Amino acid sequence: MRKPNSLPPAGLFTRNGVRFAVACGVFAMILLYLPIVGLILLSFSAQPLTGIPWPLTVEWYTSLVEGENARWLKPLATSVGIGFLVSFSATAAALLIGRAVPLARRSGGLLATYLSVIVMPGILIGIAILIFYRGLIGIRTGFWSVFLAHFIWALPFALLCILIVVVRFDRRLLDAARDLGAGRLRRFLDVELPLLMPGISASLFFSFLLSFNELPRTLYARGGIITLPYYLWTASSSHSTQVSLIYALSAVITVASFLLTLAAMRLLTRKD
Amino acid sequence: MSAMRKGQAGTGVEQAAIGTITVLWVLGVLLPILSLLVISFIQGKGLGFVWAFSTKAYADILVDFRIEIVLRTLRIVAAVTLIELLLAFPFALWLAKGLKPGWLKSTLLILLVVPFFLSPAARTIVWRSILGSEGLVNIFLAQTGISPEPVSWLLFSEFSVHLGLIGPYFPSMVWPLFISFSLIDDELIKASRDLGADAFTTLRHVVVPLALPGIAAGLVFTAIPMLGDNVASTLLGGGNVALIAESFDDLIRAMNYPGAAALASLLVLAMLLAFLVARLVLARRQASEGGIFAEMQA
Repeated sequence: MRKPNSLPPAGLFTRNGVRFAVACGVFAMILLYLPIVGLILLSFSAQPLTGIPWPLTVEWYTSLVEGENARWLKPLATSVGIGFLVSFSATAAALLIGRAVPLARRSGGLLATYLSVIVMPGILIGIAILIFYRGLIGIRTGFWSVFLAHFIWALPFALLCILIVVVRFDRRLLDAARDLGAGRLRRFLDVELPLLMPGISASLFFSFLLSFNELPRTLYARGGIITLPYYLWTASSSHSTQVSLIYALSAVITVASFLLTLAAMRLLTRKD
Repeated sequence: MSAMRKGQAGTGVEQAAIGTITVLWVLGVLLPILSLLVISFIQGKGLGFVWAFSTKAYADILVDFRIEIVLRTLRIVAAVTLIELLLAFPFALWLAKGLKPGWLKSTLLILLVVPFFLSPAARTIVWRSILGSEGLVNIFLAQTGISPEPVSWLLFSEFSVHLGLIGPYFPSMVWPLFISFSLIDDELIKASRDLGADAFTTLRHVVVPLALPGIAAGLVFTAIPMLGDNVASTLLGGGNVALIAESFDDLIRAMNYPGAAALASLLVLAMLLAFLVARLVLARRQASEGGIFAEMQA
């Protein structure tokens, strides 16, 4: 039932062109997802280091919570705590800034100020915090500096989430609400907030995940704080014998992060 | 209208809060990063600094093996960025212009977003099991008799570092390209075809010039963060392929803060340079071809 010109809408692609483009994408996507799928498979493998998934076992998962092996629980608590803090503060700041952007006279400059840090290498942010605050000013790094590093990482993404919904928001609704006699607070709570909610919840999810999985910035700004990614990092880069446990733990975190990201994207793109 | 709009911009409290946050952001975040350029020229003393001019940090940095590391990093980053561009360009163009909206397109786009929110180390470590001397590839090669001896250059080599970088940085290249391709009006491409241009000519004279901002952004978004990548080189380089990130590690561990600041300054300069070049490219484009197309699109 295909029409003869059911080839691409813009007529840019020949059949071979499409094959080539898809091959390029598939190759890169395999490089991107093979290690992720592999991680999950190998976390059930009796000998994960050989890269062969069978014989299957859940041994690593059950031993994760036994005695000595349960040392990841404290870093987990630290990461969850910082994650929530970053999530709420970045979203609140992004909401404040994002709502002002469409009305600001120099919105370009305002956006550049906040979004430019997305491009910066993570390690540079960590080094800058360490050298400026610890070296130059002399404040001990610790919880606050990890929070700061994660906040810097999360805020631009939070801002993007908020901007997506702010741009869609029809400001005439506020005018209408005012004409109907609603006060400033009512207008915000009853009109603006519900319509911005998809962006706000997406921002909460994304900011949490960015903080929770953050490594390069934490590496230098952490003082004595041990976050979960840092714990896994030292364990995995030190050729330790706990590799199988690291695989299991990383697999759990990756799957959970994956599901949270899907949920957040659903919220952000839902049309209603 | 503007008077009314401005009136809605928020209460005084709100304005003040935005102002405060922005000032804090500039002073607390952007200043520390830019200050590295200055800090690299002052004298270190233990964990702190003495306010005296010194170029010792650069003398520490500009030694043979560190120059070698910087050059190696630049070479690897340039190579991987080029590979990303070659892979992402056709794929992003197909996503934007060749693929009709539907479940496949949404799924692919979702798959290109999710990696930003996963742990970078967790998704890299498995390469070791695949490429290692007792890993999957070598077991396969041994069993099929292609290579009875394990192939050693698969892991802890420049090969594995390149391979480990391509996957994670692919979405950073695809997104800017995809967005700029999507913004190109289909009518322009159709017009080009109707005027007798083949796909390649259309690509060269219509698509590439219009997508130039996206290409520039893709290069910046991919190359600059990659300069500081520490995951691929540490997990897959295994000490054989030291990149700038390892140098930072050495310097910080030796408490050589001015040295680290000097090295970081190179990154800051590279970043500023990239922004500048991107701006120049865009300004030139707007001056030449952009005007015509802007009129046509209007």
